[in-house]
Amino acid sequence: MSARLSIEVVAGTHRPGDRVTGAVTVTDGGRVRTLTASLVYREWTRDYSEPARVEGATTLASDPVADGARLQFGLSLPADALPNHISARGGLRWEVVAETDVPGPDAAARQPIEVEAAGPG
Amino acid sequence: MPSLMAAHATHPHLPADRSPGPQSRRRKSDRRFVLWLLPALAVVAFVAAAAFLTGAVDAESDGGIVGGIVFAVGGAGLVIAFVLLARARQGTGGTHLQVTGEPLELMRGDKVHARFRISDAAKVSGKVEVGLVCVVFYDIVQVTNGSRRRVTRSEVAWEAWQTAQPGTAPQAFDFSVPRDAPFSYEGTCLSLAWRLTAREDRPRRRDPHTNEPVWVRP
Repeated sequence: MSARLSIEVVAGTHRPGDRVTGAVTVTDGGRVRTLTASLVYREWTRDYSEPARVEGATTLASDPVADGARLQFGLSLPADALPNHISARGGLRWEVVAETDVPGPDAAARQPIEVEAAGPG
Repeated sequence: MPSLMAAHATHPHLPADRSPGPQSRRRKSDRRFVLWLLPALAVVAFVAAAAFLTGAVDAESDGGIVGGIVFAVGGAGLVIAFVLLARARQGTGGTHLQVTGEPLELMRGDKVHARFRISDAAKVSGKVEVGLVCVVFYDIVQVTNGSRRRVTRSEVAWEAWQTAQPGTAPQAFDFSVPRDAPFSYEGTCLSLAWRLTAREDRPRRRDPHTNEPVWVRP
């Protein structure tokens, strides 16, 4: 059985340069070789989804992870991060992405986060 | 700088100092492919017609039937190619409308001051407006007869318009970009482009217009 991941992010709206904190919970993680978390700026439409930018990739675990393990993370939004934008035809948004490297299909999870533009001045 | 100026000439939705993203470069390549394919079909039609006229192919034979189909397809391609090339040469048709702005790079919440002039009032036959417009370019899968291909569509994401006065006297308009409006973005499957536009509303005809790209930062 492949690992399953879920991501919790500390609630709130972020701005460029902010630190995004939370935890990744791993279920059935005995076969996980590595577990990484990163911030991804994703653009999407009805039919397509592309990662436009990946930041702060961090290794949370590099050994077999116990079932139910909860791994904390802290990732920094870049100072020049663009804000989220959602429209009827698609959008742009930041996500926390957690990925494992396991024998067979890799498991991954994505959790969108709210990012607004830096304040004036 | 020369490469950026060339990029603006081939990607007129972008200010001169901005490079096109993957989606914009792909849109340009798609247009070039169509403009080469259609004349190629025209050449095929010419060859088929020449074969008929010289008696090389009998119109009632199987080869003649195929040749006739090829001629029809190529002939249609020739007509479409001429129409597309004529439209490309015509451009936006707004040579008598001049619009520019200051600043051409601004942030959401800022104002842009547009300067507008009609250079030849005799060419105006409809209502003239000046606007600030944001267009979203988005990729979708188009399914046609079971085959799927990636196409880029566009539509207005935000717009504001003001009516211009007739005559050739210079005019000025101010537009504010809302703080929650889209921002300029060049992407892979989604792009957002802002522009100042002067347009003339001609009922039941193509509306002449001229554009000045604007870059809006978040």
